[in-house]
Amino acid sequence: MKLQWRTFTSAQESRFSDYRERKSLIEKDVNRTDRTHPYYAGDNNPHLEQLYDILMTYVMYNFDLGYVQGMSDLLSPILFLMDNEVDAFWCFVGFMDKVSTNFEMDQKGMKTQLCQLHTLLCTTEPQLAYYLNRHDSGNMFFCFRWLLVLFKREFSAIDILKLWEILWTNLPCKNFHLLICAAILDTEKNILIENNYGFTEILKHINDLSLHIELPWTISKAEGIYYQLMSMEDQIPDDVRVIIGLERLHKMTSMNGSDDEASGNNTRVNGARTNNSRRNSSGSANVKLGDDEVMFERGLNMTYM
Amino acid sequence: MAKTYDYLFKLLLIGDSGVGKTCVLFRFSEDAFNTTFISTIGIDFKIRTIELDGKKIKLQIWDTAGQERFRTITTAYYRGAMGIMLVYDVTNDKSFENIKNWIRNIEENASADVEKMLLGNKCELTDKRQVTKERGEQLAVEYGIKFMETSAKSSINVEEAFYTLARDIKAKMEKKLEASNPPKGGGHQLKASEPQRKPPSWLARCTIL
Repeated sequence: MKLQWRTFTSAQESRFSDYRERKSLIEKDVNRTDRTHPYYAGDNNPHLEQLYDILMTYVMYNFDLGYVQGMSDLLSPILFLMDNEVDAFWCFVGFMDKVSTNFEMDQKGMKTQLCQLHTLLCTTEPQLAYYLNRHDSGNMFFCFRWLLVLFKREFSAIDILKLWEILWTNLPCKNFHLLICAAILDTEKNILIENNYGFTEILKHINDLSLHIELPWTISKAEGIYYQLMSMEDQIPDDVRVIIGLERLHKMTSMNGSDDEASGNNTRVNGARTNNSRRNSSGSANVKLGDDEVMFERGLNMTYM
Repeated sequence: MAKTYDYLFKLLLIGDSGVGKTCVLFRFSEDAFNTTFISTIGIDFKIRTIELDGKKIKLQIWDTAGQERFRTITTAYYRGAMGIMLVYDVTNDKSFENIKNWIRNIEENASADVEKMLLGNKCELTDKRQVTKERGEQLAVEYGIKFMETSAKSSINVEEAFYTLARDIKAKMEKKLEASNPPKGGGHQLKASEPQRKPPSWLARCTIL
């Protein structure tokens, strides 16, 4: 596949605008991917060429998708870790199999995830979900970067490898990355609400969190949220059950109402219960969770062995 | 906290990926050029307050991802923009050709009376130039908008461009205000309106119960 694009003549290229466009995008992005990381720093760094070659080969591997911005961010830690072009390519293929819908033309994957995140928040953080609805942020667009490149821009190079490895296990549940989002938002909730942040301030605040989020704390919190959801598993709405990979129960109606007021109210019954057990987890680092304490402890141990 | 500005203008930078939108913005907001820049994912904004005719103007400048498929997200931020900088790269003909598409994009998504300006960036790279200054000028005339060649790297015309756009928006706004109410002593103030009220306390309480 690499040979295929390597042997393109310039005459062929001149008649293939789609290819030219992708090539020039890759060139541009490779030159601005993680250049402060020692592995990619400096002029004429050979790893940049590898980064470029892998992305070009991927264009040949997946013509329909091609190259989309953000992909170089996903590849860079993999190449650093594998330190081998062929291995890194196939790992990247596997990674893209999981997240390619994020990059599709219609952005369907992104829209679905933003929507799922909002649905999840309606159960885990009804107060925040309500607040966001009231401040033009119910579309969760401010989490776009988190989801598109799976927090690549939010954590350090070392942290991101740890986080991705956890996410790739699909444990403790499907879409655990959305629980990570919920955990970060839980931490920031008070700041957002107490400062009465609007649409622009919310975006700014979230963007500025980059490299200031503590990973271990966030993961244990996300895991805590998971165990709390599981502890009231039979009471959570179907659309939330689906997100974390449980069967539908066909008992509850959707909690993700389109009407702001309604969704705020609808979820209160449920939300009150959720927050009952979560009260302390959002308060301080000294977590003492009544009924869920054991579960939460287990979560901590599982992640940090 | 006391308000530190008289007007708030929301501006938007759009154009193909890699034309230097983020660098132009960085030059304007921090007066610096960063060679180890990164691509913009999603959307971000920077703030700089300038002074025009004795009025403090807070510029909130939005920076967007250039690639076409992210437009569904980025266009959501077009609404409310009062000025738009259309940026192309003078060393990249394609980015200039695409300005037409960006204009169409604005027409579909931004308010009709938004002030626009065309910027040909990277003008310091004389030996790599693909788009002449004349072509840029001509296109701007065609759309009836102002035009400047800029260099974020060599700090050419970046200040001037933003000041020009801000001045045009201010003039347009003052004209509009004058037309709707005859001038009074106090002068008008514009601010992104946000309810100052806290959420009702029952709401705060119910989640802790």
